[in-house]
Amino acid sequence: MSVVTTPAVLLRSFNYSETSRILRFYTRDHGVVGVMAKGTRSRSARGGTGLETFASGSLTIHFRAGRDLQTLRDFAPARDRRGLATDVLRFAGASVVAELVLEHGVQEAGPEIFDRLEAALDALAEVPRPALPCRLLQEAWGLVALLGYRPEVERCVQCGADPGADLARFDFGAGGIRCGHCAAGATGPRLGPVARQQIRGFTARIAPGHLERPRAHLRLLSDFVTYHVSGGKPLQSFRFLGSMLRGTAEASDEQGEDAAATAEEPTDEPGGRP
Amino acid sequence: MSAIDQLTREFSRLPGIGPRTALRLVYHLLKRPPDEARRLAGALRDVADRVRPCTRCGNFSEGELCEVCTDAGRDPSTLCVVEEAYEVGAIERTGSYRGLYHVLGGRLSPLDGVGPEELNVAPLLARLEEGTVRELIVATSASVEGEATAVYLEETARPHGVRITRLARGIPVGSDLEYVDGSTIAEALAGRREM
Ligand SMILES: [Zn+2]
Repeated sequence: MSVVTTPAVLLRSFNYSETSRILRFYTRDHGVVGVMAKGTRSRSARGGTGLETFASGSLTIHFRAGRDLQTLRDFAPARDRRGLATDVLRFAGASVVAELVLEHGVQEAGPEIFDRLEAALDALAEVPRPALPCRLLQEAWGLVALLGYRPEVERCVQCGADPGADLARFDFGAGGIRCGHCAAGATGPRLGPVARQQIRGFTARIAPGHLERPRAHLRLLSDFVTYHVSGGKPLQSFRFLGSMLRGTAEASDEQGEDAAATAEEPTDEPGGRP
Repeated sequence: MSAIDQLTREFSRLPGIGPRTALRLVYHLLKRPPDEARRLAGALRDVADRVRPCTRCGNFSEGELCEVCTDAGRDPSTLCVVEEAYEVGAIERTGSYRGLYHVLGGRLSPLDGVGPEELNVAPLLARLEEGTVRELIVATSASVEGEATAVYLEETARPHGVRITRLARGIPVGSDLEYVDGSTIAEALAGRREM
């Protein structure tokens, strides 16, 4: 066993006993790390202050490779991210990003993922509210791509053709689009050229000029993550995000309709609708 | 399994009690007159059989309504929202609050699948709808999740036209009310601020 200090961001915690909590960090040097924190639930607990969700700082643990739970020695918070709690939509978005990284769950050094995660949480705390759904799509797709799951939206996964101006259909199993000729059997949403362009942009963290149907995009992201990152189990926080988006003007896809029920496909722009 | 083993196992399920302490408790009971253990068993059965959530506020109760809700001396125009029923006790012990309560049954926690539908938010809004409440004191925990829950409640309750306040800072960040001393809770209540 060794004492290890690493930059870390706290993504989740839950009470284990009357006095102890289990904390899940993403760390720069060891990826996802579970930590048992004894005595951190009471007021006087040493090392317990600053252990707030989304806070980042310097984590010191007694570390043994291969162990499920490491032991907390100290957490020195460098920044809290309480700003994420001032708005439930920001809170929901940050939770999606956190769960995504936790579900991926790799326990090895991930400096790039760590930095991207930090930047994503900061961005979600600061972005103007109307741009929030769009920013979440960028940050989440950006992380998904960085974790190694980049969707193929330029060429048909079957024949390699570029669908050009035609509609394509997303195939979750194959992780990309199928052109009109090869679409038989694919059950994912139809994607027009603009939607495909937007997804390509998101994975590169480029904001589209205008996004008409953020909820349809979020659904595609959610389904993609379910299939590829979280082993078939939908992320809990996507459901939460959905319930928070219900009724918010900036994220509804169509006025007066419950977009979650009606808009199945991010086929917004030209040639979008089948 | 022997009776001793069985009781040891039950005790060790309790928070803060490991197998060794559990066994010590069992031996202690065995040394005492048998009636003592029977009284304990009876008390446990009573708690399990009689205590349930108050149908109005969610507080622990032995009847349809809890002691707070049935107390005519309480001020029905003030409603204090807490996460868990045991926090009602923490505030009651300060003796500085005369209004009524509403127990949410948790806090928003996306990764645990806890959204507004999983909490007693709809019954809270129904109580506001009755028109008696003039101030809603949001006493959710001083954690990120507790703050987000407070903000959500504020947005949801705002259309009902009530004054909405939040406990003053002073409750240590990340602490449950359960672990905060009475005078700190009383100060936080007295210094509550508009949301
Ligand atoms: Zn009651």
